[in-house]
Amino acid sequence: MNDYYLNIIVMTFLWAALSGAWNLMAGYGGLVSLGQSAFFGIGAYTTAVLYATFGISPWLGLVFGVLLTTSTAVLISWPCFRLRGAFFSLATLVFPIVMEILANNWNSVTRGSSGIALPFKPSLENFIFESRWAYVLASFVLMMVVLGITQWIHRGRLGLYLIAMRDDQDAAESMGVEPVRIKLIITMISAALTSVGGFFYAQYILFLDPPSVFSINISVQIALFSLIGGLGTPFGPIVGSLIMTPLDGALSAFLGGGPRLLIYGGVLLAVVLVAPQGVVGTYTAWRKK
Amino acid sequence: MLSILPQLIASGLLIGGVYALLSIGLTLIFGVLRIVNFAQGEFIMLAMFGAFWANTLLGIDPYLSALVVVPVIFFIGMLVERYVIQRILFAAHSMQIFATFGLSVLMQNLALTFWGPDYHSVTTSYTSESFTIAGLSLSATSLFAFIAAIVMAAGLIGFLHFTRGGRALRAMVQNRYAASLMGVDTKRLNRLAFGCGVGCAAICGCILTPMYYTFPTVGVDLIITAFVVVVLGGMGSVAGAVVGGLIIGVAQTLTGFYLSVEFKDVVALLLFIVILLIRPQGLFGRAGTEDIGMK
Repeated sequence: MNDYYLNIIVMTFLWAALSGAWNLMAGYGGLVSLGQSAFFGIGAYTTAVLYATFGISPWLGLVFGVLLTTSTAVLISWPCFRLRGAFFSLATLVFPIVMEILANNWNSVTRGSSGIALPFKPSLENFIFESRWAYVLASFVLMMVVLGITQWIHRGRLGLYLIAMRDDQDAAESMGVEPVRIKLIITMISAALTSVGGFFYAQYILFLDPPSVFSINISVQIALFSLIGGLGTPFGPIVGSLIMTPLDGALSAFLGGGPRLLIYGGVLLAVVLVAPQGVVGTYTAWRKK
Repeated sequence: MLSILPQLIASGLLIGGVYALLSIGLTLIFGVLRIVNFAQGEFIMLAMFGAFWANTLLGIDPYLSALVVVPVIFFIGMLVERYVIQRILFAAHSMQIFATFGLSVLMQNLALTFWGPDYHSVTTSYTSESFTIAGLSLSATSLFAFIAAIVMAAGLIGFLHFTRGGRALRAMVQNRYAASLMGVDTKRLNRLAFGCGVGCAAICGCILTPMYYTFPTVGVDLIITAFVVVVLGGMGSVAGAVVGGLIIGVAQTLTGFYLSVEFKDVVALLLFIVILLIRPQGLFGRAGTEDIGMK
């Protein structure tokens, strides 16, 4: 199999994982974050800076990245939990914009808009590999971890709390659900997983600049895949990514950037209007009939 | 450093007028339909391209082109309401966000595909003109935008408070069901309100054309500022949009001068978060507004 197809497989798994992490917040908890790329970017930048500038092993970078992302997520989302619905989404929209400005101007650490190139020294210790099969394996594991966590939440008490809170926060609160605590837990899980995705991206692409990781397009893509697959279902994000990532690869090969996003926007609108439950949700409803 | 302060405040107020202009349509749509229109910036972009093409191809003044551009976009807005907004009016808030967000991505990339990514600018005889009043230098285009914002806000407030249609609209906002029992045609009013909100975006676009670059993603730059302004002033309040716009304009100009230009946007965004935390309903909004729209 040639590298082009392997790359599409890696991206399919990576997007499924990122979208799955978002699905925990948005699909289960009703916290429609439009700022996931902030978490993604912090994860990517932390490992990249530590490895490229200080020569620290990416494995340690991964740990630092997850810790930094999770604590940032707590710090910035905690106040936003007071907001509901579209107002929460509006506030989250701001995070990646601030991060991008920061990354562009904090030259001494992030090297500004020229970006960071990671030296290509393949070894397990550096989490850089010659063969793309290694990345296929790693991204698959990441996707399965996200799926496992989602299944665990879906079946457990936390999932019930989340869904109750999403459907009617006031009613859930009167039944003893603590919204802030639940929201905080799910945001931390989601941010940590997104950060691991960022780490993987940095180690795979080996080049970062502010727009490539903090762009709003990343947040849109993450949301779109879950929406197509089925919001609030464990397999939704995976199905969405399986359909969209290869399609996206084919479309950008034939059409280039503009028309590709054109199709994204069209699909997003069409799904909301025609099948808001997504592929998995529509299928489940059809089977129950 | 301090002697320049009056000039900075004057420039800030004028920029604030532009921000108010950006936000009035957004706040109107939220006030009536309880939907945050993420595609508002793209309607402004559409109007800017309309004014730009009218100027390039036919040599029409951008301000004058509003006479054609605004009705066309008003009509497009009515169509969008008919085929998109109406269907999601009572849907879960996540679906409302995605619908208008998808619309925004779609419109942006339609423009990108057909008109290319280039930055265009329209130069008129008054582009670089400025007046000097009481020792303060005021640019003609910003002054015009400022006046347009005030007139538009005053017109809308007058309409909402002193006309039959405006009263029906406010009644519908308070209680949709009761209003419909009193014979208010809520569907028609929804369509009209969305059309007007988008029409405000079109007026804004025509006024911005001589002072700003026209390009397909211009809406993204503009809409973030508009969100900040509307949240600060209070979602749904037209007067709030004006006051919010002026505050942000002055705050940005002052930080741009006294701190650094890079932090100009950061200050606005920080102000945004702080307002959401301390007073989520905004300066002029009623408490609880931020809960609505969540069903």
